[in-house]
Amino acid sequence: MLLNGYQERHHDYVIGPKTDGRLASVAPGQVIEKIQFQLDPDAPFQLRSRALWCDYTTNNGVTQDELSFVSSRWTGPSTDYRFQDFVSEAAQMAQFGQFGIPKPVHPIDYPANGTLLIDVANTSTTNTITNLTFLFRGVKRFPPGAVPAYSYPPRFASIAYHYQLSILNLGASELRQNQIFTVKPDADFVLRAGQMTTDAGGVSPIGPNLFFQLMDFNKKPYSNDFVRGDVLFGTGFAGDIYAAGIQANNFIPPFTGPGLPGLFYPEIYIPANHQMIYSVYRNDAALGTPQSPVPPENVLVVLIGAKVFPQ
Amino acid sequence: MYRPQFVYPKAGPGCRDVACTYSFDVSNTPGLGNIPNNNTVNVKIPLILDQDADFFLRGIQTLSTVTFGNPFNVRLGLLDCFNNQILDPVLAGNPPTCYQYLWSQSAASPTGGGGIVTLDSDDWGIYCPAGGALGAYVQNTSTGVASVIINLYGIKRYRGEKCF
Repeated sequence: MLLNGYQERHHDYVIGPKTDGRLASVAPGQVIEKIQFQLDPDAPFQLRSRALWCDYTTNNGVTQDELSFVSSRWTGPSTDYRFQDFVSEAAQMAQFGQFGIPKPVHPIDYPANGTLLIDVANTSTTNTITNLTFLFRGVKRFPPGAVPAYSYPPRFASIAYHYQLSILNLGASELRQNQIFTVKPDADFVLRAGQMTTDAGGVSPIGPNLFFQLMDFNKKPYSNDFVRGDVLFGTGFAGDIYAAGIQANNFIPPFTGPGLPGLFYPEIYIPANHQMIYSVYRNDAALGTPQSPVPPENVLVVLIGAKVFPQ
Repeated sequence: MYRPQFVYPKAGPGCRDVACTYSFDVSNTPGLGNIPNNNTVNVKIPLILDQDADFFLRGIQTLSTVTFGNPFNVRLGLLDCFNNQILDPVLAGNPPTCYQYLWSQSAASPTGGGGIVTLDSDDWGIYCPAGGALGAYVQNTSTGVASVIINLYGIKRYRGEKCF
């Protein structure tokens, strides 16, 4: 989509254990400095929002209690820290930017091949944080015409439309690559948002450690790595996931659901009969609850957008 | 569907837009109540609109209740007045239904506090002619008897001599 003189393309950078193995297990009191991440060489990146997650654990139900103890600081494009000191992530954003509401960031431009540094501290005295991962969400900015980018025809009619992706019997640690979503032949489809759930019908939490990577028909991805489903899309139903300050009780993420879905910006425009490719990965084998061994589950993703009829 | 908080355009000359909420439940649409469990009968239920003005559908909220079991297992789908599906069926030939909390804000969801789901088109709302009927599909896969409430939010457009 041509915006501001650039051809902007939605992109998520995931910085986690695959970037720096120290994030796989952050011990109580541990400080990790200079997690170095190099951005892709194909285009500059404009950061617009952030989120973070760690593995769901069974410390207090199926929760992400450990995120309450994450403090961080990170840099702009010139290794310039944007924080005077470590800052609690819980104090920066609601529900850690998950469930489709990433924390907005005043846009920061990173050059192609640029480097981003993150320092992380676990302020807990007892809890280890597993697979701590940061999401830096924004747009890649290409020169016009550099990559295929479909958009609306000069004249069109449109109607709200929701496609469904049904992913059946996904094993507890299964990777299912290069699945194909094809737009129907009657109209183009513009993807604006998404929602997901498992087919468990209210079992809490929904699709705990479930990850997606979306790609266009050229397999050019919209993220450098898998993004967890409840961060990428959000869902209208979730369990008591987050620690409520110093209280013993956890709380449900409020103000989520398809009224406030996970948005793609810019929209992803897919012409009729064209395809989008996605890979899905589930990492629940270690969860062990509510059943052990963890059974396969059906995953349902609703792609929210509009049908576009050229006229 | 998400729509940024743009101001909706004013009605054209000769027109008057009036906020309007339609609410359909068993009291005015019998098909939305007493839906048996494991319902596989997929009959389109008409949601009949008033005849006094066109309606532009801009939002939806739903609620399902069941006598026993899980209300999340009541799935809903919607067709516009011209029989266009708003929701794609998972499998071809199946009725176009889905868990409510994935595509319409469901008051039954404990996290469904995000408000009303906006429904969009190039008409600043899904156009429904006066006296038209939207279509609803309900599938009850819970273990109890289900009832459904469907609220449709939008505007009625009253027309004068010149209106566009």
